[in-house]
Amino acid sequence: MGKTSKDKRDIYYRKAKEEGWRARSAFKLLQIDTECHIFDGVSKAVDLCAAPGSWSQVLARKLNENYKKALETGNASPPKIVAVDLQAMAPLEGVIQLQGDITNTNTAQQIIAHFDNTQADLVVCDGAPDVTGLHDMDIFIQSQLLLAALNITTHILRPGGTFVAKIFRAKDVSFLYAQLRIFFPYVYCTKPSSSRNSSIEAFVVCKDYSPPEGYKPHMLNPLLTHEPCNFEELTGVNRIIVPFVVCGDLNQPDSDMCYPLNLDGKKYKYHEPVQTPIAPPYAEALSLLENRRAGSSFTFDHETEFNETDINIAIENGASSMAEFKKNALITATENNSEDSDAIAKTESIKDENKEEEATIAALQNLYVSEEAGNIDNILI
Amino acid sequence: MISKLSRTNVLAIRCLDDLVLVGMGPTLHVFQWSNECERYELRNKLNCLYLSNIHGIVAGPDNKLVVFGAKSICVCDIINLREAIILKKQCTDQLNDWIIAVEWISIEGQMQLAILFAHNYLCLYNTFDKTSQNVHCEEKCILYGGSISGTSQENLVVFSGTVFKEILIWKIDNNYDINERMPVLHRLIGHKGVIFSVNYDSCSQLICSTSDDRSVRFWKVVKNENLESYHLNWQTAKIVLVKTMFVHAARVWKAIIKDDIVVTIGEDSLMCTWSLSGNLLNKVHHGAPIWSIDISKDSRRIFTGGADGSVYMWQTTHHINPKIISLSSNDTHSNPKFISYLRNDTLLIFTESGMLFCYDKEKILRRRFSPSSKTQRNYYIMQVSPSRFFVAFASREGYVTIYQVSQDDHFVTGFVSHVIEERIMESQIFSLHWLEHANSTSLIACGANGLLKIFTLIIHVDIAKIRIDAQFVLPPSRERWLTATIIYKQLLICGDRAGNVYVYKWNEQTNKDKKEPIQILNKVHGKIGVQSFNIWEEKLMTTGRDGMLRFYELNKDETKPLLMLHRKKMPIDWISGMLKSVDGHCTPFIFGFKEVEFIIYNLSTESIVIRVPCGGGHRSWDCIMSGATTSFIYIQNKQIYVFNYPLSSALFPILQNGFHIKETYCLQHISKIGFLKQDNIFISGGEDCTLRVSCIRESFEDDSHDAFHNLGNFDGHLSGIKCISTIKLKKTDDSISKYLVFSGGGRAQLKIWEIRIKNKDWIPISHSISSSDLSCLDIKSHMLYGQDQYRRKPWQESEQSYIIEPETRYMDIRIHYSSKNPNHVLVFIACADGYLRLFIYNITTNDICLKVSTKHVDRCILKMYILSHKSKVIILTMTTDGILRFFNFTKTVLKIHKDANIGNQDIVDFSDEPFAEFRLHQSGINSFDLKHMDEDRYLLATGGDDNLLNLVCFQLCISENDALSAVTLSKWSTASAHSAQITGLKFKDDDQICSVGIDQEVIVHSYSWSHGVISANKLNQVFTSVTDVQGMDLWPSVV
Repeated sequence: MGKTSKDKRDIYYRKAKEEGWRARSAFKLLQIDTECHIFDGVSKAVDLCAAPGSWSQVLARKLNENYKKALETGNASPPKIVAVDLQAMAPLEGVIQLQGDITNTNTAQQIIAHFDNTQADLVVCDGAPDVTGLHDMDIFIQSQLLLAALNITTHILRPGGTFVAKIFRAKDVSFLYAQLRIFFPYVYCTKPSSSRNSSIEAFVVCKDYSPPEGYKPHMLNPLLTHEPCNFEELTGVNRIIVPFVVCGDLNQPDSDMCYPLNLDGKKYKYHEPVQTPIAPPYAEALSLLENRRAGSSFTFDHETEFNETDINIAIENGASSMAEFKKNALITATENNSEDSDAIAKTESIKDENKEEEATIAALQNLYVSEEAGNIDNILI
Repeated sequence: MISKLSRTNVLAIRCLDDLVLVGMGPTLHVFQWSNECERYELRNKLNCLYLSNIHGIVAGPDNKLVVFGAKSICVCDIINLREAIILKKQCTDQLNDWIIAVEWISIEGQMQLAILFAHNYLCLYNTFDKTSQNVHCEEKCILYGGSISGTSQENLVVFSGTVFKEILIWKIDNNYDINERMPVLHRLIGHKGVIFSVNYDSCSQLICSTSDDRSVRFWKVVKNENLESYHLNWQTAKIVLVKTMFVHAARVWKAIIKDDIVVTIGEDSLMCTWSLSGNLLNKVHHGAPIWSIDISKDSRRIFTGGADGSVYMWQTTHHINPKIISLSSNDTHSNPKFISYLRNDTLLIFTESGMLFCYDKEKILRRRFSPSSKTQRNYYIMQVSPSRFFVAFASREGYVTIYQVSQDDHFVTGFVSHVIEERIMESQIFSLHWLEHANSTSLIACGANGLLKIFTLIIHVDIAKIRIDAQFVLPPSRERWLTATIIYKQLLICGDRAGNVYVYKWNEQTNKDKKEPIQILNKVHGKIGVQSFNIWEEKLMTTGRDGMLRFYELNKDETKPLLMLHRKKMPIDWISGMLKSVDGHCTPFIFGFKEVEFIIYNLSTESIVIRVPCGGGHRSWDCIMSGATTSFIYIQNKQIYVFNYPLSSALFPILQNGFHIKETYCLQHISKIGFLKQDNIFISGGEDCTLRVSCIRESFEDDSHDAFHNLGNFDGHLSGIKCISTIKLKKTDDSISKYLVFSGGGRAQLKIWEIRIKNKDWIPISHSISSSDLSCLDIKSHMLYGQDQYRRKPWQESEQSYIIEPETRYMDIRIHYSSKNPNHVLVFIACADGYLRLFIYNITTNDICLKVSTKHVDRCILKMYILSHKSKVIILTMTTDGILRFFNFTKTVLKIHKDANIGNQDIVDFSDEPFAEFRLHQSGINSFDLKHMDEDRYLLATGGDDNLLNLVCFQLCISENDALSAVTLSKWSTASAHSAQITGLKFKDDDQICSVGIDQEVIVHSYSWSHGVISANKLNQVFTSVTDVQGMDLWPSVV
């Protein structure tokens, strides 16, 4: 795989790098806006689960456009954008960053405080769980994330405001629609054309926030889980069907299509990613692996247990230091006892020779390194 | 509608005495050990959690089981009678949250369930009256994994693995009101990712956790010494991280602690065995990501369930220290050269100086002598017979001497007795090999100038004789001697050192003529000699140092009797040979070396069974699997290393075989065979880059189970297979059916395979088709921008040079093949770069050539269809913009056939506009089916990414000037049948249509056509446990 292969496979990935977006998902929000006009009149917005920050980038740009337009006609207050995430995020101009948990009331209060105790016009959430590969579990966790986002939204969104969030269109999706319809009279399921055809990801656009009369938002009562769920009810006539809208017209590129590198007569230029991911969970495992690769070759010595030599990289917690460990991993030695292939007689003149076959351990470690490193789909690496 | 058979993620597995309980989808499968069949057999199954997948199985007292998954639990009784296993469902309950773990506990003398939910709270659940008591933890967060330890409410301890990378330990504290939030007693911090599992073993007081960060961590629970008590007090105990292990290359799902070992499994398909101190004892490979694991009560067997639906059994391993034998050091010439085992565990070591050392079972030297004691006998090659009863030596002077296992006393090992010595070759003997055929003990020796002599050892009472049977000549080559040989169905097959394979006619009659080969295969495994010949499932198999197994079978062609079939890539570079287990299952084990390790690989489960870090490929080594022990010996640094593993080859490891390891993208039913046409053969392709041929055998008894067999899986695709299309070739031979299979996918790769299935219609119903009835020829591989090895040229490596063309994917393949042009196949391919490509394939010359490459719109083509209407060839394309387009290819097809007959390979231009366009969906058309109604009217069903299901009735018209047009007559659609993408659609008999979507619903609609209007309504619907349905095929049942 060359470094251009992802550019060929994914036009939006390439475009995101060219246009300076932190992730291709920026186009999704832009395309949702062209269809659903979610930014109209918005000056205060919240981005939940914001990292790596591409939606905050879009908010910053769009809200500034709104502000400039408003200034032409009269007075306007400058836009305010609050981005919330559990993880740290590289700073963005015009975006207030909050590191916090969206299931916590304090977070809601902090957000409102940033808006001088007024509420937001728009709440967006592009959060997705760490995908486990177990579809049913991933779908459940995503639904919990959406409900957590909805829950905090009920604290921070002004009546009449808009909520946009990622949703997985799968088995229990009607159930989620039903939950959203309690708070929003208008719920659409949208799919931007920058989202792949094969992906189960879609976005709900919920407009005109109108909580039920007497509804008091509080964090202790997540909506979904403590309510009995009757599945039959949801599959019958009472099932809530929400309109499905595709966003992005035919002028937009097709995310399923492979494009040549030279597009529209322009000569291709490779762009480095705008923002590399910050501390993925497997970072430590990867760096250990690289250390092992760096140590060029190893000896096999049966005096030592085989697990101590190479196969295992174990950290004796509290015992040896990391530096010591790395040093050990880099010990190199040559090996001279494996012999060349076949037990075949050679003519008298040719003496049997012991060819040295250098065996590198690194390749052994590479055996099962699969494409996990490439798993972080939406983040530009 | 009910599910008859499934192969999906095996998320739960539990051992219960001689039973193994397997949760696959919503169904609990019960396997039991059968002494008669020497394997585990499926005895019963029960749909426990319709709508949800089973994530866990917990056995309780009185034959009770609780099966859980998602938000459902099912309590059932399992009654093990001698003749049957009875499963009785007591109840299936829906709960309000995702279940992480369940444990049986006793509360006031009654067995109840303690259930840990994903929102980190515990529920004490009474399964009889359905009352429950929730207990919350002070920490409110989502859990990905966790466990409950304890037997009663008092000693219950909860281990919660959170999304915030922490492990929380908490319990129901009696000092608190039950409605209060319980405090966290310990917070284990260290993991860098989501925690997938936490387990506590009370015997070793060890906590083992696994995580998204790819690490396994051991934590030790240390009692507070000041508060001496028999019971562990969790409040006062200290918990320390003792070891962090990074061996898994991907997420680590689960761990199990049993006695003195910990076994971990992960997404990387590895199963690692650790000592309690965190040392890696073994690392084996399951073949697919592993989801579930359990260890038998006696700790001897491990069971794993994979993402491909497979369930395998393993034997537990422990650390083995090698035994080292050094020859007496006073003899400087005693460098060991050959080592081998004989059948009674005698170990033979033959040195460079021609000395033979015989060791007994206990590795004590019993005898030491030189076979070359007489002058003019310089023995330098040793070969042990396949039966390990004889050992032969060859000399530089043309002599052969043979010894056998001492027959005086079978119990004494370490001795050999002399049988015969004779000069059989005028020249030096370059190589010597044993030949197995028709109960005779034969050898083949290779002399100067490629002379091969086959001779048989005849032992009559006490007189031994050598009879020269036949002579052959190896054609001249760089290194003109044998590396391996075999007799395969009246053919003598020899491989020389230069990598060529020679085929000779073989008959039993003694013949003194020097015979030449009748067929030569050049460099089958590269330029290094073939390492071994084996016979597997009636096919010939060669192994080599290119990491490949190659398969062959007999051809009807007299001049080319050996037909090369497919090849198989192994996770072994240097494949030395194969050994079949001696039990009834003949499990094939492949031996070889990969870098510094010796590997034993089980071909039937496609998994690595053992790795020995021996330092690499050795000149001489031996491996035997006898009884419950596997022994591996090799020479290193003039010493002999002996490893004895407690690994039996006779334990059949497969409980259930699997399907594709990753997503299955395409599947096609090709044939029904068997006496009652009960065996359904289908071909499938998937993300795992393999083409599979499988068989589903329908069962005729009400109660029994349809059976699934894997007939073959074939690799060769560099990227996932997205689409397949097949044609049946005209029968030239009644005993076999031949199919051409075209498969396409990522990297713009097209492969053509010939699949041959033996005709088994006459055989009794009790016999099923097996993999020996199927052969597959990998006949052609084509990449749009050339094969990889030719693409990158050194001079292109200059700065900023990129290959500008897109790496397109082939999304759909359709074949146009008519009896008018039996030699040419037209292959239409829908591509992800928006192009429709047309290739012509010549069956006789095996040439494929691109003829048309046309793009109408910048949209990825998802689906395509060839509609032959009257004499017209119409191509229907369906793209991500939701539009169906009709193209008239009639003239182009005619021209291509004309070109083909005169050998013109030029590209044909096609830039016609579509003659009709139907806008059917907002976005991609993911599935469709087409049905001819009458004369010029057709019925089309399409299902889209936008949840919409369309039924369109259209008419094709041919005008007087031969122009085509299509008109919609009537259209019906629904957006409410499915709540997610519709990925499969098929017309069924009786005016019905089936649809399936990502919402996991399979729906049967009935449609009617009256007064020019089409309409449909839902007839029946069922949930499928397949969460990411990619498509659907229908075939009629014979039952």
